[in-house]
Amino acid sequence: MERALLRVFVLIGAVFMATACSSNSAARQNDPLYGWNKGVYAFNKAADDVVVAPAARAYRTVIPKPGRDGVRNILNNLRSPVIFGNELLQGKFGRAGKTLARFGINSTVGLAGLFDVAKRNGIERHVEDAGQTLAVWGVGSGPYLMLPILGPSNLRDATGFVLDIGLEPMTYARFNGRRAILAGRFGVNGVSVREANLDTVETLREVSVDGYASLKSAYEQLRANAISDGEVNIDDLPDFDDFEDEE
Amino acid sequence: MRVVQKVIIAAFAAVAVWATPVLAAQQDEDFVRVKANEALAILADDTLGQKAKADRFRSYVDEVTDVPRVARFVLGKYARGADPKQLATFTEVFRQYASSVYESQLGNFGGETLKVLGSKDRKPGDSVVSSVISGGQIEEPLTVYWRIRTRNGQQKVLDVQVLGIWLALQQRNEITSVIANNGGDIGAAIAVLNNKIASQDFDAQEGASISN
Repeated sequence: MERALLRVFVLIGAVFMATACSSNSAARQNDPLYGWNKGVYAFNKAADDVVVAPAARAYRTVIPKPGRDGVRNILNNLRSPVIFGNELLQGKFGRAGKTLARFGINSTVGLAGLFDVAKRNGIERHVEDAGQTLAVWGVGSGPYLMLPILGPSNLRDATGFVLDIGLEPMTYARFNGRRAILAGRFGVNGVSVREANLDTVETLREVSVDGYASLKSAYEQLRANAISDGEVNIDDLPDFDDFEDEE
Repeated sequence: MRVVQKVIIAAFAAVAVWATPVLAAQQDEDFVRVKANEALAILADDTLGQKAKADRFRSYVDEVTDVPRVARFVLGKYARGADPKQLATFTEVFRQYASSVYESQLGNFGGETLKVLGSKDRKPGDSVVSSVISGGQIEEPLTVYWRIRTRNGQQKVLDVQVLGIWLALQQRNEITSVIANNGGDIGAAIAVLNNKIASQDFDAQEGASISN
């Protein structure tokens, strides 16, 4: 299955690299892979319109909210080792301790993560990944990069995505049906995330005047926000008195 | 005696210099507390019809935000050397677009309250106030940051960050992309915004397009 997926990605890549070479790169200084990105964006949007969003709507229709929350909780709990590892790598030991406590509480009292008992007791969830870890270590974002199916990213975050596989316990598990479980988890997670964002995405599409630029801008801002753990760095804000500054 | 006098004056001067940013920050926090709760009150006012509510919200946006400055910011580098008439047209269309977007997206609010958490001065007359909105229709408390600019004692909102996204910055990235894709023509952005205003399906007068 992994080889088949790889072949599909390579095929898509070949098509979009061709469009990248022929695209107009004027005013795209901050998006050197514009041609590729725009092509993958179109592909992802079509896949979303035809497959992902309908699946997410069906999921919302069939499964009541408590059930969907339970699924979300289980998936979040399964992600805890990756978050924990990245928090340690970033030196955020207090947060790592909370993530470990959440994992312990929710995996036991929370019935394998079905219920977020830790949150009810004031231990809030954090999210960290290897892309954020690389950023904390001083690695630049690199060019913006749209990935087939996975969506918006950049060179650093795409690298982080691969590195996170190394922090995932299931990577090292060996039993029959492991790949099916991994594929199922990937699919359910995608549908669950899309369902949670159905209204937000619809709103963004309603108000946006440029869907591609909107997604890129939102991704870049959200990642900066995640890297700073939600803190606003006032020195990074643009100057409104100098509105002629570069894009 | 003169030495004592100088020391006292210097001490007061030092306190004044130290206290000025604090007072400025406090004023900006008060501004956000009052004005944001005014917005929430307008949105929650069920005695107003949709059009009356939209009119009041539009007046409110004009009062609390520096629309011409935000509009120029949104144009980015294309504001430089722009035709003044086209700039004025863009500013008016942008004002309508922003109002209609906020009205349509904030229309489901009701019963929320805002609490100011603190503020940071970026430089004199430029601060960021943090707040949290909770209650009403919101499941999880929502952190909102407000960028406040003060000139001649008058405070205006320049940008608002919700769920990690600065709205004016988001709009600049979209608008400049539209202009870049149309050979640097601001008229293209005006046309796109006019289409968006029309599609928001507000009252016919606001929906009417403004040509460049």
